[in-house]
Amino acid sequence: MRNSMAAFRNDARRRMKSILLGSLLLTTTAAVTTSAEAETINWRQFEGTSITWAYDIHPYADALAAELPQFEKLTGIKVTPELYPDDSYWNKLTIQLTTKSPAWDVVGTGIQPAWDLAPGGLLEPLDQYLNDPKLTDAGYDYNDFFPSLRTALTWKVEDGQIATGEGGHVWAIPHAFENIQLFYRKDILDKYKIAVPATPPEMAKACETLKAADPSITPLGVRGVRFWSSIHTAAVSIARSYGVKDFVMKDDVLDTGLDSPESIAFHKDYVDMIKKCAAPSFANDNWYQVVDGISSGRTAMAIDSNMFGFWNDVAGKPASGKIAFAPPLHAPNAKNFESNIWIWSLAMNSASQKKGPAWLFIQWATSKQVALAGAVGGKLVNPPRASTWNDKAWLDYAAKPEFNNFVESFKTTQDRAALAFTPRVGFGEAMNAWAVAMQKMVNGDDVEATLKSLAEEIRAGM
Amino acid sequence: MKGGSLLLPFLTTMENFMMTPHLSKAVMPVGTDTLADRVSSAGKSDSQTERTVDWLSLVVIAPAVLILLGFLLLFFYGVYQSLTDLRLGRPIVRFVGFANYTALMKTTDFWNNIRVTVTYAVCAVLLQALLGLAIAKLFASGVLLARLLRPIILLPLVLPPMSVALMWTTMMNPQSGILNYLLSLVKLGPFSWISDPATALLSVILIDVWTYTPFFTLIIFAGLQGITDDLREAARINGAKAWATFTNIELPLIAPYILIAGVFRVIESLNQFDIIFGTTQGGPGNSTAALSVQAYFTAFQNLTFGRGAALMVVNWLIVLIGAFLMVKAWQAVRSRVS
Amino acid sequence: MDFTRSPATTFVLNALVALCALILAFPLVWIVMMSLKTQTDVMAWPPTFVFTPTLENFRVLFDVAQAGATSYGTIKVDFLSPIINSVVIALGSVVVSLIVGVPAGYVLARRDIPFKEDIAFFILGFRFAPVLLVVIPLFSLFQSMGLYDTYVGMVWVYQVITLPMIVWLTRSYVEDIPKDIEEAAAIDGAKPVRVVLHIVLPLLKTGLIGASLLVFLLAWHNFALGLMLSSTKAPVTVALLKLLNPGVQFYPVMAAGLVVTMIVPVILIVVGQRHLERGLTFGAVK
Repeated sequence: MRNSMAAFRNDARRRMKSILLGSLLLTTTAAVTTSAEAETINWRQFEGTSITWAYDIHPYADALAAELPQFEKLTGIKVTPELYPDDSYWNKLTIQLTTKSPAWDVVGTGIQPAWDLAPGGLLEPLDQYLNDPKLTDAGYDYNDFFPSLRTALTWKVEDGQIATGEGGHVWAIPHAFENIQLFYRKDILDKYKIAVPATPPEMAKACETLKAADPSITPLGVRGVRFWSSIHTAAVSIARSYGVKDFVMKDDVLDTGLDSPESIAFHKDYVDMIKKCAAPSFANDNWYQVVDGISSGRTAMAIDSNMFGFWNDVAGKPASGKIAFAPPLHAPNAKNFESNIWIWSLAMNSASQKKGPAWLFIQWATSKQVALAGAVGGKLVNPPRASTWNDKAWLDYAAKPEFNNFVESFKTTQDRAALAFTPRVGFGEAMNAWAVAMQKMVNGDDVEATLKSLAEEIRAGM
Repeated sequence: MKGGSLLLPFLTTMENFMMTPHLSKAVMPVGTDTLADRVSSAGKSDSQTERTVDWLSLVVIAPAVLILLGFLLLFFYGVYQSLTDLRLGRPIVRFVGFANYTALMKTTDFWNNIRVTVTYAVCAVLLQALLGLAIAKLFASGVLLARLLRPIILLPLVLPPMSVALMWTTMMNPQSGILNYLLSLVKLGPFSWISDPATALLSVILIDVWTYTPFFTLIIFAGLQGITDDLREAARINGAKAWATFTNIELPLIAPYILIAGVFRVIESLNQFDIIFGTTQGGPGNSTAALSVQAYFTAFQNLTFGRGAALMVVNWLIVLIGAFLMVKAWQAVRSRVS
Repeated sequence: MDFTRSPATTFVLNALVALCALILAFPLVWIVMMSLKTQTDVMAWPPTFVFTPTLENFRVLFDVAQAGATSYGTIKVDFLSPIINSVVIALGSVVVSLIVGVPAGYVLARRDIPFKEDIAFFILGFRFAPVLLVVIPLFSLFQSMGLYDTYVGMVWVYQVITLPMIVWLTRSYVEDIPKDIEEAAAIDGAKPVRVVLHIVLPLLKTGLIGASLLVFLLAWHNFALGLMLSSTKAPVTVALLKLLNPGVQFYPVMAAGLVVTMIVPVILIVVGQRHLERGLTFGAVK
């Protein structure tokens, strides 16, 4: 990953210069690859079938949905999207898959939820499809995905637990990914002469200044719902820089690290920061509210997936062109920040009765062309393929002045970005409990005592 | 006495069922008051007229019973699942006895779930009974607007609880909600409503009160209609003040109605799911995590279905206890009235 | 009673009634207003009561091709199919419950069968059953029988709510019919089935219309069963969830969705207020 990022940086500088030539080249390349691939496999082998694709209500879904007519034209397969808002989607997904319902063929997932789904045989391993020349195009180039993403989505199941390393199956294919950053309204921070905070205490102070200056501003947008989705962004990224681990090996036994001294230190700072910074509706806020706050101009800063700042630079919004990026906060005594990654991926329901068409859809949706088109359309960001990051069409787009330092900050952050959780079945249960505990602490419960009972709850569930 | 034709047999049945489940046929209620007489005499005359087995009737009632028996089996299967370590998505299921229950009882969250469930039901039903009585009296006054606006009482009751929950979520938004604005006009607030653990439970209780107070109102209203003007007139002639007439004459007569409504509301509010799910989903923290909501999350979000089923069974037991207490109260009131 | 009241008391009583009505009706009025506002009007502070109404939100709600494009994704609501689902499921539940439940209710009111009161209680007890507990067993059963996400399956599972209601309401209505009428007909030599069809049923008609209205309403209200047992056949209450989370920018469309889910029950009040009152209060109000 680091090598590829460095390579991409040099590449970028060189290519930035020839905008016109670049876009011309792109058009030709796209045309050539399409026709070349059409020859390698028979895209119409499942003509006339129809499949259901379930996903979160999300710009990624939009990006794909916009291209669906192309897919239908190419394959003769009809795809019906079924979209649900975030927390209903995850519950629905769980119920659909655990009951072996064949209703959904292709589903959107992240790595973490997949840990809970794969061991029960609910997801179809995809390597058999990747390696089948009748089903996978030679030009698909699976190795084009960043290695860190491929590794994260490959594992095997041993004794009902996740085992990373050699010999794993591919459980899902990435189609865009996020790293966690701080993004902020340059104009607001400048106006009140606030330096970009780097640690939770600094952030807490900045929020107090902001609130005093303009009570109508929400200083910081962060997720707070009692669901793991509010842990995997700001909380876990910052926690890692304090040295907090969700799980540790203690005397060869897996144990939670959430009641460690580091964890107590982190939570004290974080909870204090949330109290001073977050909206009163923190406990009900999911990423939709974070995005809304920043794009409507009510929120001054946010710690979440980096592309939430990116999308909102779309012209015409109150915040257009005013959002800048920085790495997430880190512990006051830490040298470095940490940033969690979240990989939106497409996976196949093992109970699907239309696996062939489903695979064609996954393959098409994660192909180079669709990834590039989605990225340049401003939606499938960050692109998971190295080839996209080497393509000047994307680089030119992402480097536009209204996106400020998006590319710069992505590179800085991505160099350190890594999966912050321990691969483990039971992810959802433990992390949901963490989210509930977080709400309790933000509401004034004693940090140490709450963490202690949280740890006990997690241990009891292991 | 006009009202309660359906409610009374229900309560009598329930009473028999709860007191002497095996002998409910043998011990017919020997009510001394007019209300119960009507019921039990109807029951007796039935059993005396025909003695042969009425096959046609059995055939006719069979489909309904069979459909519901099917559900009963599923229900018991759910109870069985609460004795297993069933995890959604994991093929192996082991029988673990009462392990789920004992594990639950060791957590403070579980006792909090029970506290929230009971607080919610008790507060909501008490407030509803009081307000419902007041509003029923108001509408029974028969003033012009009361006659014109009576259909409005029905309004909250007919809306889907889920829609009611979402509607109030919008109105209770601490920053953009209309409630805080209206209260600011009279120099109150701003309140955080469902976003603050200190007020969240109260807020969802208020939503429940808004929705179901009309239920009490309607039933009590029916009870008030049954009291003839002669009775009130007699009291007045005897020199009783309005308040005394109310407490001495009316209240005892409508008390059974209040309790009947109470039985239904206690049972339903102990099971309440939609309103909490649509507003707070149990949060912030666990401040509104009633058993039903917690059970849903435990079973379907954390995938530990065995544990979730145990929570549902506990919920069901609490409902039974609640119903039992209410029937007891009803019996006490009934014997006092007679 | 009015004649004994002073005008001042009458005025106060009227005012109090008006206040009650206002509290009961205001949330609904507010949501209707919200559904007719633009996004800007909805976000305005202080909230506005005067604005130029727009039907845009309802268009978004029903436009399959293009709904609300927001900064977090396009939401294609397609509210029409959930409405159709709810109507089909609710009507189906009413019909099945009537066919199965009315005869049962009659028998429980008039005939002598063993364990009658126990059966009656057993049937009514389902009104208080924790529905979630049957969901997972049901889910597996539905999968194996191919009933998952079908109208037939949904109608069947809704019987757990609607059937007990119909049985009990029928029983209450039958008990209201004087027994003499049936006995007289029986003495005249009419067969029991004929008595029921030609004498009892016509007398029950109004009552059954009311009961059907109520049961339709209960089916319309249901959320938990639809949430877990359907997907493309999800009822309208579950479809609301699609409007719930995505942020404040979607408030007016959500309001429009709420208005749609509420409009049907409000029409039912207009159609049959008295019947609904009787049903909702379980027969206490006549």
